Amino acid sequence: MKIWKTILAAAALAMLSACANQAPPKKDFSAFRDQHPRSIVVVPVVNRSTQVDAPDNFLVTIPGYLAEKGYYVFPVHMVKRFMEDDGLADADLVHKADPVKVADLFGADAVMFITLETWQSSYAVIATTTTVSVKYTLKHGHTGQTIWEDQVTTAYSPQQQNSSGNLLANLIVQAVAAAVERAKPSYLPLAQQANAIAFYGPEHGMATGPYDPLYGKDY
Amino acid sequence: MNKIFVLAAAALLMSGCAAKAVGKYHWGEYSSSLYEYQQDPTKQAEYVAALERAVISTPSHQKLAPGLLAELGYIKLSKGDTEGAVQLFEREKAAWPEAAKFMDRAIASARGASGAGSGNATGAAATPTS
Repeated sequence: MKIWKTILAAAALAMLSACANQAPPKKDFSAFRDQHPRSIVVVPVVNRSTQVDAPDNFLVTIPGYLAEKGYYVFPVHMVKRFMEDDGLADADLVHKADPVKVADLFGADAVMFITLETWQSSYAVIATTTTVSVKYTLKHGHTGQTIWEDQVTTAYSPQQQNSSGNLLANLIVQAVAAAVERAKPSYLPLAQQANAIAFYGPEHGMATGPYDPLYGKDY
Repeated sequence: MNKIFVLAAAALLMSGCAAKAVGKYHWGEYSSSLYEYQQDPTKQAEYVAALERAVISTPSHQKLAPGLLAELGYIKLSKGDTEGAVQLFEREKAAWPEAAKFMDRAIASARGASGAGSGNATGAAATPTS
């Protein structure tokens, strides 16, 4: 499962920085202590970027990260369709709604609100870099309080993934990759990268959920 | 101790073992097939096939990821297989107690829609307002 590459990369970064000098400031998870949710419903993603497809595509990458963190995650596609039937298709509308009422529709302990702030590709002939900026907010389903939030800005350049011994071949591959990335940005790897940082990265991260052995040990 | 851990993690990443690291759950091709299906609604069959493969081929040392049984049930319902859908919703509920309320709602709405043939498929309460 590909997400493990990103999780291990983020976790390795955290360990390396911890070993290099002092441990980085740990995020405060005390808000979880008395009211730790077991389940999370992820509602439609608000899009402030110029990429029309980005929110739906981002949504498919979330369950893996949250579930492996130890939470029950409601099925995102089914939830999206049920919300459309309930007249809650518009993400902006849902984000303004009372989280307690949204949680109650599904019997969820918590609601995850995600806003894609930017999703932008900057193009130079042999290098396209796509940068994403995401805001995550987790609100408790019984109290409506925000118990966790995070902001991630990260970038992805697919050209970095390729190299052969031949310099000219490399340049051609890179130019093609850059053009493809510009035309159709790679949603999945970048979304996975952002999620790995938000849930596992140094100075980011979220409290571990009930299905993980570390539950209750990282407040 | 720390040094060994760091070296081991670095070795894992470099060897590409990371891609095969065992997570808690079996996901199959859920994420990528749902992505494709959202980009192109004609790819529904591939999405369904990916879900079915994931459900059938869960290895003995892993549990099937949360939500996948429900996702498959929902697609079956949309294609008219009410009983198949209800069975899957029941399985999701049995595997994940947190899903009980939502699965009960889905089962009621599946049976209601097929029984009474009513236009409104959900038994939802009032739309939440802030």
